[in-house]
Amino acid sequence: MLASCSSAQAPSATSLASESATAGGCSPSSTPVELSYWSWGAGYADAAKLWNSSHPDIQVTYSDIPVGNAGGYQKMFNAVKAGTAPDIGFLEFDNIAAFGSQDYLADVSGSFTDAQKSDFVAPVKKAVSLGTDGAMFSVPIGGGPMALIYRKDLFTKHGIDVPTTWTEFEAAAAKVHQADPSAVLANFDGYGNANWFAGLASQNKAQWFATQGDGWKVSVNDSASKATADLWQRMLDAGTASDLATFSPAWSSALAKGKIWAWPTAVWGAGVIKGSAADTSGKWAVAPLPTWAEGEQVSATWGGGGLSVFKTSKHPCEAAQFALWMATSPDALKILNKAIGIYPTTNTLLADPLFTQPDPFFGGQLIFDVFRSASEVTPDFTWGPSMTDTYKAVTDAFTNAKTAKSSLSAALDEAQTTVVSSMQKDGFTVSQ
Amino acid sequence: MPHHTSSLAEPTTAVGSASDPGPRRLRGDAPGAPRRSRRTRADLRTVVVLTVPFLGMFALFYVAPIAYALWQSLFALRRSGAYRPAEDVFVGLGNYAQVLADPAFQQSLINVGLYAIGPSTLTVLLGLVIALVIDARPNRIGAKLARAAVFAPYAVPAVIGATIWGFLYAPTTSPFVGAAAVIGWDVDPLSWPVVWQVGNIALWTYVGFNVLIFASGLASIDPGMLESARIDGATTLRIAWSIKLPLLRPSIVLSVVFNLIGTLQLFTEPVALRTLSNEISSVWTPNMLAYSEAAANRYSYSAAVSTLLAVVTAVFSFALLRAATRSPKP
Amino acid sequence: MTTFRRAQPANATVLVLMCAYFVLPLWWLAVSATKTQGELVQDSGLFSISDHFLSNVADLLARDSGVFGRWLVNSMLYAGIGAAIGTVLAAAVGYALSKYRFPGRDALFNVILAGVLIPPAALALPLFLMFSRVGLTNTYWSVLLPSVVSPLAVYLARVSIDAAVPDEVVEAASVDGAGGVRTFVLIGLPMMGPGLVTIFLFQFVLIWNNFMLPLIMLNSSDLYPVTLGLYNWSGQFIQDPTLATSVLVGALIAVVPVIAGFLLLQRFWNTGLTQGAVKA
Repeated sequence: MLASCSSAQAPSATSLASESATAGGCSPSSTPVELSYWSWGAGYADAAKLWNSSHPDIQVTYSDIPVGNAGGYQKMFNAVKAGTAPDIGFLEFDNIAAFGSQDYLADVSGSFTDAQKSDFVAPVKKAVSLGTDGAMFSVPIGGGPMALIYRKDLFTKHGIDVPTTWTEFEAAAAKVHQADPSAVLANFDGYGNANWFAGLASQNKAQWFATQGDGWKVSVNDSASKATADLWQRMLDAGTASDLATFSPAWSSALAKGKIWAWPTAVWGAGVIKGSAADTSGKWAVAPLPTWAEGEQVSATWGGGGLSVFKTSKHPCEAAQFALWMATSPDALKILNKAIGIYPTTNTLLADPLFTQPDPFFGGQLIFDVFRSASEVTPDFTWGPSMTDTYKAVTDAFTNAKTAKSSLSAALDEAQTTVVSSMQKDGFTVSQ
Repeated sequence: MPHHTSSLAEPTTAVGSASDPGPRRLRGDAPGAPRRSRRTRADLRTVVVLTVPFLGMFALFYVAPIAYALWQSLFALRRSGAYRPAEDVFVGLGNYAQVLADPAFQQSLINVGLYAIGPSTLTVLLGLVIALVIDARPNRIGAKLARAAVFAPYAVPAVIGATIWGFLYAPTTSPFVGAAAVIGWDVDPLSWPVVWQVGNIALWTYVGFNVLIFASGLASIDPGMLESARIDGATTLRIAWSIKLPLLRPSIVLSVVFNLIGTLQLFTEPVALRTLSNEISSVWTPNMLAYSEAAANRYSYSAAVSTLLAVVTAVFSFALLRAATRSPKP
Repeated sequence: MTTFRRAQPANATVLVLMCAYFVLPLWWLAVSATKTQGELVQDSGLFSISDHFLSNVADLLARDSGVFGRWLVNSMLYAGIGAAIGTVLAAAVGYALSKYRFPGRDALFNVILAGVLIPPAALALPLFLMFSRVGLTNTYWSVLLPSVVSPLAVYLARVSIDAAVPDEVVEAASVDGAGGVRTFVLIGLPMMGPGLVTIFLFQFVLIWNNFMLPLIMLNSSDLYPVTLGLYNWSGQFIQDPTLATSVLVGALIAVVPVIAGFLLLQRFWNTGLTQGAVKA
């Protein structure tokens, strides 16, 4: 075999990252290489710059694109179709299948050593394998384990216990609304974030997709998803959950003014709250996500993703090394964590001091312990071949339900119909 | 050397102009064929030089894409495996049948239909009213300020307009909701019909444009006519209703057609509002559906939606112009 | 002119209300641009002017390596150059259509008019595929070139020339032996004067506001016009809620020059209108 790719020599690389790997099927370049890398969000540009400063022979050009489900993925698809795809693109875990199903992604597992590969947390490794054991169609950079972030001060003040089941959550919501009629326990994020809803449904053992021979089985409206929808519908109807557009200034304002007391969200949500409601510092805390059954140990994921190497890349070897560095370098982590609250997916980085400090914003709590435990019990969930489409179908159906004042679970039926027909329009064989 | 004017255009009557057609011209009667054909050749060369740059661009960037879209709309995707790439297959008008039967397309047509009846009509009406009010005393400072104020939002891109109004709609960030609450008025713009939430933004942006159209129409009205009406004792209102309005008919038609085209092609305002609102689906208008389908790589289906939309727009616009114009088209 | 006392207060009230409706949102924008994000979510009133405008602007200009300044320049490029070229091209065609009779003239005009009815979606995507075949997507050309073509401008030009450039003048020029194109450039264009400005302004605004074409064509944020850039940021509140302030300040900065330009040039397009440039 050819000599191994020169590995990522980050300024203070861990021993894992500095091991060289045998190139599995890619040939490293002997001349300087330029790579193009597309992503959204702050921090990536700076991280790429850092890599460039220590890798004169592998220079990475970063391009900022819109958020994936809001046009970023479409740009990538358009580019592949037009033959101008980047070498590396950031894909959220739920969208890897979309590109993989078109055979657009390279399996980079051959570029890494076993030690490097086993450093990644198990559920995340599974998420990037697309059903092929050991394959890696993405190098995971950040995970999205979910927990419940809540206003500890308000809970204490009004004698409300932190809910451990969704039944308790619903009851708590009623108490919150009673204590302050202009406030709610939580906001229903599903109108604009179907992946949030998918995460919560998956916690209830929902399975939206499964491969079946040459085709797909679709069940967006399975009973677990409907039960999840019903729960939130009850709260919306009772006025104990709000329906603001998540992340909008109106939503930020509600958080800042204490009109939303809790948020079932992923680890990166902690950073969002700090940005949206800076004045509420010290008043929040993090608890595990409520579960459906008493005493269950299962959480959910929302977001998270990694860097994928496109098959059309002329330098997959170097691209894979860059991706690995982004995922495993403590220096990259420092930048990304500070910029967008990236929560790593390797055991080594999860032990970084960044995640073992008490957080004053959360009253001194070691919040990452909660998220770490959550990341170990995220449910298995198969993503479909066109999640952007699927999400659109779900959010459109929810939106229509809101306008028509019909139920969210009925909307899931509408979404199911749309998803099935979209996939058929795409040429897939679909069963329900 | 005297040349006969052999190839000048007939002066055209602009739609709704109050002026007369102008004197007739000698045409093509120059004695001596050689001089005439030389003139004609020179003129033809001029015409070519003047028109080719635009026509070249027009052919490249208007005609070619339409032809491409039409061609593309005759294909559809077929796939041979769960993780295999898809391929285009000729299906004739199959896409069009699917589009017409698509509940999303039907709903989007309903949405723009409601929009046409509601906000779009109001835009024209409001433009008319404001233009008439300003025209009643066109030279006062108030009128000048009013013109500037009404037209200022036109310079605001729809994306920005939607962002601003997104803030102004939400109770937690809207000064108007807060102010209304102070006088005991519980207003919640987010509970208005979505058509109006979107429509208000376009109304705010485009009324100025309509005022412009009407203002120019009003400016071409013979002042003598108005003066004699006043001398006869007609009130401002009466003048507006009986004299100005009828003469504004062509302007109104123009305004309605422009608004109709804009309504049928609605895209930017709802798209921009989506980041701040939960009430707008990703396929709320036909254009959004076309974009959404293209975003899902269903280019052929998207092309069919766009073509259908273009056809509907063209049919409605021509029908309107036909039915409403009295004088020949320019 | 006799005054009509009864109509006056009604007129005035209507006008004041209307002006408030149109102007207050812009006033709100200006006031909000003076607040930090924290202040904004707490109090987004119309009269609570804060004192962070300059620091907000500094943040805005520094964000993402100064990309906002780039966006402004891009918008000026696309709209300024696009409208300039487009106006000249349209005026040329309008002149030919107005002053010359040639076979197919009316058919040509109708075909061009039909172009006004084509929705951007019908064009933007096929344009993208066409441009990608020659590798020109994600370039300045990909937005500039299609923007230059404006059938509406041709319509406005034709109507304006009909009214502003008398046939006698063109005849006289040809009698004097001047070539057609020279006549157009040296006589026709100057006579169009205010009409030209009107057409330029309308096309400028159309390109400035065009959203779908850049949305589809452009990947690199340093090619974005300011509309697309701000929209992009609006979709990133999830990443950084303080972007809301930058979006608002950026919106203000993007909007003020265009409004100012319009108001200053009001003189021109008012004359252009009465000249019949937008003939009703």
